[in-house]
Amino acid sequence: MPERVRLEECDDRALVRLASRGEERALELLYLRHRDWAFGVAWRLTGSREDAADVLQDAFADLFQRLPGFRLTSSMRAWLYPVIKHRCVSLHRKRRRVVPLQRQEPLHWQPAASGDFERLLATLPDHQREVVAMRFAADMKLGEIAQALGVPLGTVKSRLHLALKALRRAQASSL
Amino acid sequence: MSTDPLDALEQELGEQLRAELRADIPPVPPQADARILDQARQHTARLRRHRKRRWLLALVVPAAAAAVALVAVLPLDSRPPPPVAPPPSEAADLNADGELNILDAFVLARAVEQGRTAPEWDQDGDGRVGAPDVELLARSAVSVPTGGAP
Repeated sequence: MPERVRLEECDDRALVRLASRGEERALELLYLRHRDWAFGVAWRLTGSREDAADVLQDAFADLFQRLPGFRLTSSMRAWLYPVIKHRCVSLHRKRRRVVPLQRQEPLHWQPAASGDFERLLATLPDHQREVVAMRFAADMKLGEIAQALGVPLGTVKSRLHLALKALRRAQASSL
Repeated sequence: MSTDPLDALEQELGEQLRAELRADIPPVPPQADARILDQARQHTARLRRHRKRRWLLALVVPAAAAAVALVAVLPLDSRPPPPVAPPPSEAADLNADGELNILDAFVLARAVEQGRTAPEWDQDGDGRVGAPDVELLARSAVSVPTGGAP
């Protein structure tokens, strides 16, 4: 008799399949597995705990609505990242429309603390800063970053390489 | 040791970058957790209901199709006398769309499965409402009118 597999041991794809069949615990586990990461990304992009909570809810509602019939072809993080980013951009645009006089900076990864690298990161071009944040703040693999951004792996490596070189240079000159 | 310049840079700066960039991320607010988990529960309940309906359809539709195929395939002279199906009554129009069709059988199947019955849904007159009534209703709905052939 086949041994019953514990849900906690299932990978994300298996959990998505089970959730598609109405397995409540599988969907809960999928959320619990990725909520902290997703919330961290949303918080870094919005700079607000409340907005990040709204974005988190929207992103997972998006996932729930795709079930059944949703097939996870990349990693969960690579799928979630563009969804979260899109929601953050929408929220940002909505705010800008609602309060046109309020000065708003373009959406980018917000500094989380006043450390050296946070300050130096702000000097990088957006596309390089994003890759650095995805790699080191969001702890994404290079392949996941490429999938999430829809760019070739080589582009991710090149952006990261240029960004890290610039950071090292800036760090050395600030000493 | 890695010779990839990107690997070398990551090793050199990675630890400090991780420590700085991951600091101060607040925890997920418990209210957000509760809302999302509640959505997950509601959605999976909907998925389960949807699956159940599909299963029922998967049972009723092939049964009806098989009945139609049987009627069509049997040679005219060897056909058994047509079953004595009770004439469709108004009570058999369960979805109240004015027609007696396979959808009524489907509605009855769901009602039986959920344990909701009414005496007027007893199609075969045995005093009980169950699977035989669903079958009879499905057969009535898809049967070919007999008589009138030369």
